[in-house]
Amino acid sequence: MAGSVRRALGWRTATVVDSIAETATARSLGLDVAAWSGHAAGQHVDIRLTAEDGYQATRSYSVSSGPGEAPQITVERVDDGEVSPYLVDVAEKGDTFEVRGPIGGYFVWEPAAQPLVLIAGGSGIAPLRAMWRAGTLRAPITVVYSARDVDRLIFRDELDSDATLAVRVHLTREQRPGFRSGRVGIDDLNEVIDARVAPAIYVCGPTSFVESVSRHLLTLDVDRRTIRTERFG
Amino acid sequence: MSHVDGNAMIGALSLAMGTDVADAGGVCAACGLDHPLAEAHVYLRCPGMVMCCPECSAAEIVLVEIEHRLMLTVRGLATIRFGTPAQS
Ligand SMILES: Cc1cc2nc3c(=O)[nH]c(=O)nc-3n(C[C@H](O)[C@H](O)[C@H](O)COP(=O)(O)OP(=O)(O)OC[C@H]3O[C@@H](n4cnc5c(N)ncnc54)[C@H](O)[C@@H]3O)c2cc1C
Ligand SMILES: [Zn+2]
Repeated sequence: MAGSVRRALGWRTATVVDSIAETATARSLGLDVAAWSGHAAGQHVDIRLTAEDGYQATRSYSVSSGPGEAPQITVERVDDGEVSPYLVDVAEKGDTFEVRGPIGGYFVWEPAAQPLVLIAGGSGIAPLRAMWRAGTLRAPITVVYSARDVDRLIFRDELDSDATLAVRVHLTREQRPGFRSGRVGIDDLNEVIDARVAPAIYVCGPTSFVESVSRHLLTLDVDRRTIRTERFG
Repeated sequence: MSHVDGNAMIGALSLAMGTDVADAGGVCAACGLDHPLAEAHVYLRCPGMVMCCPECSAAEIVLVEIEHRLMLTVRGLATIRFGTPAQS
């Protein structure tokens, strides 16, 4: 056990074995990591890129595949970013980089019968996908997903076709039938959260999105211990 | 600059401390708040990271990671508690 703990703490080599364009600006990369011992839904990995001149950049990416599945990350391109444009536009099958993880025990969901509410902004959907793929039929799962426009929706087909999920999608910059327009507000949250059944609530996305949703939830008198957040920055 | 959650620093911190600190807690030396490290506020400025108290914003931990060298400064925590806390 001690050996495997130490291995999970240190840097290992990941090889890109799969590459899926999710949208024009987001891509999932399937990774092969030697001695990967599995992950829990919600955990992340640290990825470190090294340039030819030795310059290094490290960023965190959530694991978007379910527990028991091979590790996969899903990255949204930040236009003038250092790392995400490489992962979205340049990385190809066979490429390698350093990876550390899986990491974290706080923003993690262990399958349970308790209802689950997953609230994502943008690429914040990545760790939440791991959670709904870990879900059992015992736990009712609601997904509230906010994106700029319909072309930015990651995992849209999966969300459409999974009948076990209750899904509400907000578009902040586009109006379209079948979608809510505008940001996720207090009323939207009030509709999906029944404080009497104390659902487990996971909120993930850009820091401003997570802050705003968390504030709304506290206004609704949701017990703060049932809320877990992951800010992407 | 906006912060992320303590969770974002757990990977580097676990490597520096030689044990998984995903469930560790700390007591802020400035205000006494007892909190999970995963719930602290973290400012990322690769290769450096600063963990701050979620209550009073005092810097608790500074960690710099360059290649395989880690430099850890833990001036702002009075106590670090390892292991899973009792669930309330
Ligand atoms: C625990 C954790 C998990 C994460 N999981 C994912 C994930 O699953 N998928 C994913 O796509 N990202 C994820 N992120 C964000 C990711 O780590 C990077 O911050 C992001 O990819 C930008 O890195 P970059 O090097 O391209 O940009 P940088 O070079 O770091 O930044 C370039 C510019 O963009 C701004 N910026 C930085 N981050 C963001 C952002 N997230 N959105 C908008 N603007 C930004 C910066 O302020 C800067 O001005 C996660 C972050 C954390 C802390
Ligand atoms: Zn404090």
